[in-house]
Amino acid sequence: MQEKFSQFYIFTGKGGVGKTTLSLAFCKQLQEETKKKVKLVYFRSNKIENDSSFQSFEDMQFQQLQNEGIEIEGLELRKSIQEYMARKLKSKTISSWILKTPFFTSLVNMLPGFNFVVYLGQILDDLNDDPDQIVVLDAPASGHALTMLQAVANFKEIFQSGIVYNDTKKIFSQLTDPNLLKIIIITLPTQLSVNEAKELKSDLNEIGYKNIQLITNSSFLYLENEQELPHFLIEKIKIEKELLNDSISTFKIPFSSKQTIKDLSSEIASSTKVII
Amino acid sequence: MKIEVFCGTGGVGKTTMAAARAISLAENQKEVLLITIDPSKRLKEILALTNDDAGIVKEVDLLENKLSVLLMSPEKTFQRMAQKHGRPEITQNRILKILAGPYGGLNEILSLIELNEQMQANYDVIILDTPPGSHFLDFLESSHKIKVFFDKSFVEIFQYLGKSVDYQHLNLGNKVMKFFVSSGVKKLLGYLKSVTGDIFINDFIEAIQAIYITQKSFLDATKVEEQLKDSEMTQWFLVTSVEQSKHKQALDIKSKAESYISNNSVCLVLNKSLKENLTSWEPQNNKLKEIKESFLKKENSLTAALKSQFSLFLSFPEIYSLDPINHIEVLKEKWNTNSIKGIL
Repeated sequence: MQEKFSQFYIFTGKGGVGKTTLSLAFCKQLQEETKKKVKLVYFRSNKIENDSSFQSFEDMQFQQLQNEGIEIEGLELRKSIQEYMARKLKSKTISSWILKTPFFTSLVNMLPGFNFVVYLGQILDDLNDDPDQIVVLDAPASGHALTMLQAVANFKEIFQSGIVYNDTKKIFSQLTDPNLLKIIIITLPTQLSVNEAKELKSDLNEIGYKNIQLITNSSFLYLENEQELPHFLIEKIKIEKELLNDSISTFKIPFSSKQTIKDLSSEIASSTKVII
Repeated sequence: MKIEVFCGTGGVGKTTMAAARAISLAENQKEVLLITIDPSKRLKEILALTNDDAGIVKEVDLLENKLSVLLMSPEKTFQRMAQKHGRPEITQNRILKILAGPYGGLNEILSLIELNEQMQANYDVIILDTPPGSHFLDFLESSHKIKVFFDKSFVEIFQYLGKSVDYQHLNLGNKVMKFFVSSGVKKLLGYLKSVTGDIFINDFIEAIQAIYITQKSFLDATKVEEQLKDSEMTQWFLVTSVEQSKHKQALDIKSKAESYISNNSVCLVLNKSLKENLTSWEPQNNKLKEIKESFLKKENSLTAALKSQFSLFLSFPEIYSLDPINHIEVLKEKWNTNSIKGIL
C-alpha cells in the first residue's frame, strides 16, 4: 500500500523531550521508506547582526549526529533575509546594503517573529523548487512553536498589502494545507508536558493549522503489568493513563534506558502509519 | 525591597515553583507580590485569577496566607502606558495591537515596563515569573533592544519623515529638524515600500511615533536592568527539571547567564528530582534494575554538571498529584526548610 506522506514535517516540543533524536530517527525512517531525499532543517542563528563564528547548542548537537546519513541544513536569519530581499528587489547589492543599516536591524528586532516568517518562507521556496524532497524541521527547543506559527498569521495582519503580504498569505495558506504540512508535538508523559502539548494543539487548531499529531516519548505504560513496581512508578503510570486517556490520540514511544537513533528508528518503523 | 526572578524554559514547573516560593515568604511575614505569566487553568483557579483579572493586582488567600498576585497582561500594560502619556488612541495602531497581544513578541519589553511600575509600590519581595520567551535572557536583552532602537533608528526615521510628522505634537521642537538629512533613509524606505506595501509603511511610521511618544516608559524600564544585575537587590532562580534538562543545555544557559548576572546571585533550582524515590527502591528483576540505573545515572550526571557550575543549588522532588495545590504545598515546605538552613 502506498503511504501518503506530507512534504513538510515540523517537530516541536520543549527542550529535553527527545525532539532532535526523534526527528532524526524519523528522517532516517522516512528516507528508507520513501527512497526520497529527506532533509533535516534547524534554525542556526537568529541574529540579524553578523555572527558567523557563533556556535549554538543545536550546532554542537548536530555535529555529533552528522554521521547518520541525513542531509542537515542550519538556516541563518541574516542570510535568509538577505536572500529574500535580493530576490524581491532583484539586486544583491541593494539587499546587502539594506541589511547593513541600523534602521533595518532595529526594524527586524522590533518585529519579533519576523525571522520565523522568513525561515518558513525559505523552506517552502525550497520545497517548491524541488517538490520531490521531504523537509523535516527540528523547531527551536527554547521557543514556543506557537510564536513561530502565530507569527505567520500575525504578519499577514501586519502587512495589509504588497509583496510581503502576498508572500505571507501564501506561506500561511500552504502551511495550513493538511496535505503539505504535518506538525508533530513531542511530549513527556507528565502533567505539565501533556497539558502544554494539548493546549498547543488546540491553539494551533484555532489559528488554522489542521494536521497535528501528539507523540508521547518515554512512556511508562509498557510497565503497567510489571510486578513489584515502586510506589513512584505506579503513581507515574496512573497519572500518565489519566492524562492520555481522552479524545486526543497520542502515539506512545516507550521509555528506554538507551534511546539511540537506531532503536528509535525501528520503534518509529513499527508505527509509521500513525506518524505519517 | 528584593526582587526574585524565576526563569527557565517552559514546562519545568517554573510558575508553580514561584507560587510556592511566594507562599513560603508570605508565611514568614513578608509582603509579597507574585507576578505570573499565563499559569495553567487549574493554577489560575487556585490563585483566584481569571483572564478578566489580567493586568490587575489581586489579593489572594492561599494555604492560610495572604498574597498579592498579578497576572501579567502585555496588552493592559500597554494600555496603561498609553493612558499615562495621555494618548490612549495609540493602542489602536494595528501593528502595536498585534505585537502587544499574546505571543506577539513585545511581551518581554512590556514585562520590564510592568515590573518597573510595580517596583514603585511597597512590597518586601516581588516574585517574577518570566515570560515564555525563547530564552529567559531575552528578558534582559529586551532592555538592550530598547536602547538600540531609540539610539539609532529614531534619528534615521525622523530624518526621512520630514514634514509628514507633526513635530510640535511630538514635542520635539526643532531638534529633530536640525539633524543632518542623510541620503540613506529615504531610499531605504522606498525600497522597503516596494516590498512591504504602503499600508505597512504608514502603520509602521505611526507605530514608531507611538513608541516615541511613550519612550519615557521604555527608557525608564531599561533602568530596571541595573537593579536586576545588582546581587544585593535581585535573586535569580534558574529552574530546570530532571526530565527535561540536559548536561550541555545547562552549561549553555550558564555561559549565557554569565554576561548578565553575577555568579552569587543565581541559584540553580533542579525540579522533579527522583533521587529520594530511587534510593529507597530495590528492584528485583533486571529490566527494572536497568530502569533504576538509567534514571540514577541521568540525574547524577546532571546534578554533578550543574553543581560544578552553580554555587547555589537547590533540589525539589517530583510530586505525584494532578492537583497543583498539593504541589505548591510540598514545594512551599521545601522552601521553608531551605530558608531555615540559611541557604536563602
